[in-house]
Amino acid sequence: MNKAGLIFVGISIMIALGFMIPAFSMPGGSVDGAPGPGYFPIIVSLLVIIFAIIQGITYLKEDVKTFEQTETQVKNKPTLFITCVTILVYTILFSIIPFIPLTIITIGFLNWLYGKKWVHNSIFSVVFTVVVYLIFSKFLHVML
Amino acid sequence: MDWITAFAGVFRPDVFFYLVVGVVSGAVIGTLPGLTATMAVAVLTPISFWLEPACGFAMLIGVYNSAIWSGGISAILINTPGTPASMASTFDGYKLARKGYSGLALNINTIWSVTGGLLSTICLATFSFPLARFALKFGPAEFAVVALFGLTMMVSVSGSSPIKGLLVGFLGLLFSTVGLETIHAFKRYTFGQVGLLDGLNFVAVMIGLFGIGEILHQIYTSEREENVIQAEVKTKGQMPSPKLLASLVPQNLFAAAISIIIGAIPGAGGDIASIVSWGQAKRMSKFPEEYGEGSVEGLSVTCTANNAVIGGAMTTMLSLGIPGDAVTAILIGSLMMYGMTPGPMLFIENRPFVLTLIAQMVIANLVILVFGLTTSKIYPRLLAVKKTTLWVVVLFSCFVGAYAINNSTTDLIAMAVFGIVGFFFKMLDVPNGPFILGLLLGGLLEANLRRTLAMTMGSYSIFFTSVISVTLLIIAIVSLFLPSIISGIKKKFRTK
Repeated sequence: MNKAGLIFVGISIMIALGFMIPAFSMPGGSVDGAPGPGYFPIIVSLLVIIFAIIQGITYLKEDVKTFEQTETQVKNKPTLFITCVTILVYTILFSIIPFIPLTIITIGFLNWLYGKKWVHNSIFSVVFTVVVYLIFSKFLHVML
Repeated sequence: MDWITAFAGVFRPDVFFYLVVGVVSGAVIGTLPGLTATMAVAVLTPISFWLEPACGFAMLIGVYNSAIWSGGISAILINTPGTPASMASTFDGYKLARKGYSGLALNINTIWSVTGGLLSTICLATFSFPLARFALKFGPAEFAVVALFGLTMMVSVSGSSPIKGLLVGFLGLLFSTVGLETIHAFKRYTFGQVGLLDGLNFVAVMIGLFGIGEILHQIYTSEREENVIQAEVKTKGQMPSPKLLASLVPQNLFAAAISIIIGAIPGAGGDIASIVSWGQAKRMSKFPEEYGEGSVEGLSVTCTANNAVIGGAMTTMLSLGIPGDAVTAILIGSLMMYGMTPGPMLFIENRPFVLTLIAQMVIANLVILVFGLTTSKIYPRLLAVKKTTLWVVVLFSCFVGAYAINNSTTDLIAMAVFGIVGFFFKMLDVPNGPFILGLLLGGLLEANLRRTLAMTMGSYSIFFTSVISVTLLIIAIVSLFLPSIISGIKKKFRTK
């Protein structure tokens, strides 16, 4: 049994239901036979559920552990987790904190996490952030 | 006259500048293992939106062609393909480099990649116009089937499990329904968020899946202790002689022909084309025993195949609106952002732009030729850049790139979420391609399906009476199940 695979299948079915249930309360089709806005999501959700069940049966029969971790992966797991959290926090703070300080701090933190020396880290964080800011904000007129 | 104007347009200082920027960026990204051509184009696409179409596309065309070519550099020097398309270049390229012919191998890579690129561009210029004229006969029913056809073709070549590919492809279709639907402008699954009215931004999702997802996967699976890669390039006296190049012409013409066709098939990319071409060239060679042992012939066909795929993929993308591979899927998104819809109407409404695009393909290849033959010495230094530095650079390029599309934090959130999804897809061996294609083709499929049903008063019979749609439906069904049938037959024979 492939547990990770089964979780993926379960999430797929939940997503399909999440799209399908509200689609039933969408307006119906017109008199000329054109289906309403709920028609397509219902059909596609059904297809997702059908193929998720088929894939689920395959995972049940499989004798594989997808997430059987190597020594390196076990060692890297905290780094991966912290990187994911950092990505999400940076995304949330992007519209709250100005670009330059937020990016310098985040890059500095990630470089520290990846084991960079502090001299290299400080120079890289500042230079990279300023270069990106100048290219996007001043040259391409992106509102950073 | 139109062609002269198109070529002259590429030499406008600003357009040519962005083309060269694209070639150089593509060379850097393609050379570094782990950074793919898809990622390169995905990350640079948002920047292109801030430029006028000719400049923006010059940069993207430069990146696309250059990243595929330069993927062969790391394949040759360190036995690690820079992009998946260069996988087959490791077979002979690395062995040649080990024998002390690294300069020769790099020059062969440049010359034949450019030849493949130019030949496929000639095909693009020749076949895309008649194909687009033919596609003008398509009605909504045919376009709905074309969208379905594109999706199934992608699924059929997306890995070992078509079921997994279908499941992900349908999930992509499902997510394409977020936002205002096309016929009644009804809000679906927006949760009151204005940022979701236009739907999930395709480019942001793509940057997440291919950029962030890949970097997270590398963080999880890479050794923490970094080994700086040592590679050396000898260039003196390693330019291939005209006689050697002439002796390689027949095999490479054949490889180009195979690859252009493979490229035109949605979903089949450079990796498949180069392996098929290498195998075919080996079968036809007078010296098959040299293949895999450092054969110049073997290396040249894989290099031709990589770049020949591009013209094929662009033909399907421009004339039918169906992406030939992941990169052309992003290019469709870019064209749409510029207000142009790929497909037959593009050839009527924006004919000069199509010609400019083809001219850019030609000039990009010529720039690659000059750039590639003069810069062999710098690649070992480039390969010595530490992985952790690359991770940070790519992560923040993705952030700024995704935000730059619309100055929208909704896109940024979508990118971050799909980045994490991309990591899990990679861990579970779930292909990203069908998801992206589903997201991209969902609108086309739904709109045309519903328009067809409105025209026929709700009857589905038109799908089975139109010759074009019946033919495409049959091909789609066959392509979907053929890989499973073939592998089933192979398994049976093996057990016997």
